[in-house]
Amino acid sequence: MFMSLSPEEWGIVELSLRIGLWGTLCSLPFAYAAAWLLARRHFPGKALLDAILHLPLVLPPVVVGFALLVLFGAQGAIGKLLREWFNFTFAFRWTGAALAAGVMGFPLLVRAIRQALEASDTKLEQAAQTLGAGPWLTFLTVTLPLSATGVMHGFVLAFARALGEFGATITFVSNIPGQTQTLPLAIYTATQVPDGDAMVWRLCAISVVLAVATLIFSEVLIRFGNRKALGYDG
Amino acid sequence: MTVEVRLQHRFGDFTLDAEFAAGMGVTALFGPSGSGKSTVVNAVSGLLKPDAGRIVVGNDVLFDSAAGVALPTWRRRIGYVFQDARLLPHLTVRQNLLFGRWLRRRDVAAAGTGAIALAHVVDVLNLGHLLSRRPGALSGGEKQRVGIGRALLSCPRMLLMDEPLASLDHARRLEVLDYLNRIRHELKLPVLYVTHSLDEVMRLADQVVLFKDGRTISQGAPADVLNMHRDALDGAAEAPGTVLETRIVAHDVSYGLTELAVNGSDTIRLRVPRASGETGDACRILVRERDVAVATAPPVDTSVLNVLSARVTTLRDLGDAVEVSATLLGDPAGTALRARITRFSADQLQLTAGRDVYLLIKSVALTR
Repeated sequence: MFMSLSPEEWGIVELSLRIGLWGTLCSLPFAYAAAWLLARRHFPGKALLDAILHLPLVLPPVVVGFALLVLFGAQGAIGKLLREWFNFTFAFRWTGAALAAGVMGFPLLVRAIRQALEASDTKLEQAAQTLGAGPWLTFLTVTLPLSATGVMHGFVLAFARALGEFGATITFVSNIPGQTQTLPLAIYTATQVPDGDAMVWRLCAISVVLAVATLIFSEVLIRFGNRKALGYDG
Repeated sequence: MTVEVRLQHRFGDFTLDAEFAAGMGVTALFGPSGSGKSTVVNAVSGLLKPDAGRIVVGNDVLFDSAAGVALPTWRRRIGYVFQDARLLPHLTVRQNLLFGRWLRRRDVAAAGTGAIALAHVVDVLNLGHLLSRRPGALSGGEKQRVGIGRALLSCPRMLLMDEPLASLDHARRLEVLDYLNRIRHELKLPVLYVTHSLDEVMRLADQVVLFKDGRTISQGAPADVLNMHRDALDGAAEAPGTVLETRIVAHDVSYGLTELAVNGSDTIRLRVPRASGETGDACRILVRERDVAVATAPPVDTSVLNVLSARVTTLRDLGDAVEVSATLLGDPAGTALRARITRFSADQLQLTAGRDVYLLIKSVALTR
């Protein structure tokens, strides 16, 4: 089926994957930091931070998109600074769509990583310290590898969420073919034209294939990771 | 190299107030659970910051609350063997063993040939067949052996062992004890060994620090401390007894017996079921009170192998039983043994302090 995709359809798939991957990848370090804070530290306002981080999950996506527009739009508070200082803009470009995708998947990423960190034993980090590992080496050699499965889980969830992102994207960066028109937006557009039925079906089928491929890939990775941790490959 | 520890720490209702010094060899921190021993080793390792005190290893001050010194754990170079092993589950045994060595590669390089080699550790702890496995596929005893090897290889200047045998079953305990005994003689390091097991103290300790309710109440040679603070042992020993330091004089292979000389004196000998060790090796034994009988005349035609002359020093009334303390005659060290006999027997024999008696020792608990 992929063989028979038109160049236009290929463009949509490539754009969707690019936006989903970059959005999720760039939100990963922030999500890890937030998850680590929530799992390992006690501080005043922790519950508030937890609630704020969950907003993209519970708010209507359109509201999140509007908030992004206000903050990161061409005239937005942060958007203006980024343009003046770095000549970088999110507005109506694929980078904006990636930002929307990243923000919407953020809570899923945080939740998965937080769970993994809470399940991993800080006693192992202590053991690493007695062997000479400072805080950063302990993080790199113990904390990070032991939470890798959680990171992977979260990444898959957030990536899938990013592929399906619609409301925040269309509100923030509109629906521009080749720039911000991801699969869901393209499907929506096709439903709005009189003879778009065939296109809708084809794009829906592509979405299903992408989603299933993502799930299978993650399952394989996680199984591999578990086998290693359980010591069956010795 | 000596270790000096002085600590005060409070959490909740519990107050720790410990002070002791430890030299080369194994210093057992001994006492019932909850007496503050683990808190001490955690403070020495730096994993716990005590309220006040001072910890010095050799010439290095690791912690001094008055001077505001508190070296972080990773700079202390103190190997730690945990009760729960705490091997890194995502690494193989080999990687676990080399983890600390890699982190401390500069110290290892500086130590040169003084640093213990991987091949040697693998050999002594018998880890060769485990190297490519991951911790998830190891037994409890194997995990503990890897934990010991990992600590040894991290170029430590001292070792901490926090009840390393407590989570193992009996067979595994003996197995790891055997390995500990093997490395004990090679190590030129101070080792703080936390335990509530009298057996482990008897087998491993060169020195004992006795803990009770968060305080260090006594320290010194194992036999001295253990015999002086018998109340502290009541919970730990299956049966009360006297700890004796002996030396292996000869093995009688045909009868499966070993002859021991008590306290290095040549005249006082004990014959016991075959003990492991070479002639001349030290051997610490426990003579249980219930295994010692008392006679006022030299026994003839008896199956009891060990008959020692002694002089009664005290009699303690225990209700239906009497505890007889007697010093061995001809022992310059003045070793005292205790026997537990019925009050009826004590009255029959008309035992009094100062009376010369014969102690009949049926069997002894060997610790090596």
